Amino acid sequence: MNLTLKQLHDLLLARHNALSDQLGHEADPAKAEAILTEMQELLHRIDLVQGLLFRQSSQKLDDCLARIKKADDALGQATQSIKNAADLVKSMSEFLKAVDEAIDLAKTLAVT
Amino acid sequence: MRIIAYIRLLSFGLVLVSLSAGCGTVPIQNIQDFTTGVTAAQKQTTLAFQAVTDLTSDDVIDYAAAQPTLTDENFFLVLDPKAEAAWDRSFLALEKYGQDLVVLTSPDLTKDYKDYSVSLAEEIKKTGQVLQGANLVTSAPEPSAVLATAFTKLGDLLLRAKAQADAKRIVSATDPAVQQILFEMAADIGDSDGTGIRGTVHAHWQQRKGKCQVAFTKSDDAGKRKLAVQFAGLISQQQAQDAVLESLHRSLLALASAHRALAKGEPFSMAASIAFIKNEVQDTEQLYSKFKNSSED
Repeated sequence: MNLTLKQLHDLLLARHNALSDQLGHEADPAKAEAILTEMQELLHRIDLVQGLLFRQSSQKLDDCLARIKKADDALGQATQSIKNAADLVKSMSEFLKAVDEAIDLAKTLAVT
Repeated sequence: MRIIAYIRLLSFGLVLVSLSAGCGTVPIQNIQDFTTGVTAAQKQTTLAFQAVTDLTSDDVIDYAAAQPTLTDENFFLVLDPKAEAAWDRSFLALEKYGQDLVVLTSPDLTKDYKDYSVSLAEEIKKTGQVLQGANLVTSAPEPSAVLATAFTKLGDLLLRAKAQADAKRIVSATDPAVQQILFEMAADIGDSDGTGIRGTVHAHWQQRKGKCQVAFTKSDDAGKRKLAVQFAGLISQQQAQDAVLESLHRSLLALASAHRALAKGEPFSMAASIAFIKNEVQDTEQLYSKFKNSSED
């Protein structure tokens, strides 16, 4: 998270909150209206900074994704190495089947 | 006698491999629970972000309408959809990582190996009979069922021990990245209503309440009563929405703690963390519907 932007966001929030407290104690309609307008201006800036903060931290999430994907690839390779052992046994079995067929064929040729 | 010696040797090997595979394993149930937790947290995030967008969009329009001119730059989404998509990508990547961990640590992983080993033993016997039939050997070899079983089981255990070792190594190596992602997300949400998205949401509710407060200063007694009721409703919605975000913040930290437990092989804290997230999701759904209902009032 961008620390400068975060500090700015925190500052704006604290200022908005202070004005909100002030509004709660203001009985004069004109002054109350002025405080609310100032709060709205602050809120607009809070939203803008929030948007920037959210975009920047999302970029950081994307940066971390490469490490998760790398781990996922490693998992895939580890799984494949186990499957390779099974494939080795399977290919041996298939090889013997081919040998049987070759012998059967040789026997047929010998008879004819 | 020689066969008995082989069997004894293999039995000893089986015990050794079983012990080494059982020591510091990554239990499949814990991985499945972690993956379930990621899915739940993603669902919780979608609900929470939708509520934030609903709230802030109205206020963005209010601000634009209060300006002397109408310009594009005053219309924006506080939570940019492209940035939200990065959250989705992170959750999906964590989910896929969890699913692939499940595959690697599943007992079914060596099923093919065992099936092919049985086929191979049958094929060896058949080939022997074919050779005998062709007068190439005098007697067909009879593979010992006991030995074949023992060797296949030993191979099975070795493969599973390798899979467990790989899983442990990968989970430990990935833990810092997983922690970084989940802590970054939690920081975005905010640890109080004075920081992060929780702070922004809090300010929006204060602004709405502020409109009530200004109207209150201009109103007669009957109007003040109405405004007080409206103000109470806003407080209730504000609390409900903050509770949704607070719950999401807790879930993200619980998920980080669950992965840390997985990396360290601590099953009990893992189960506790995941149960916690499941409860948080239910809580979020209830709070969100409460929030939606009161918004529609």
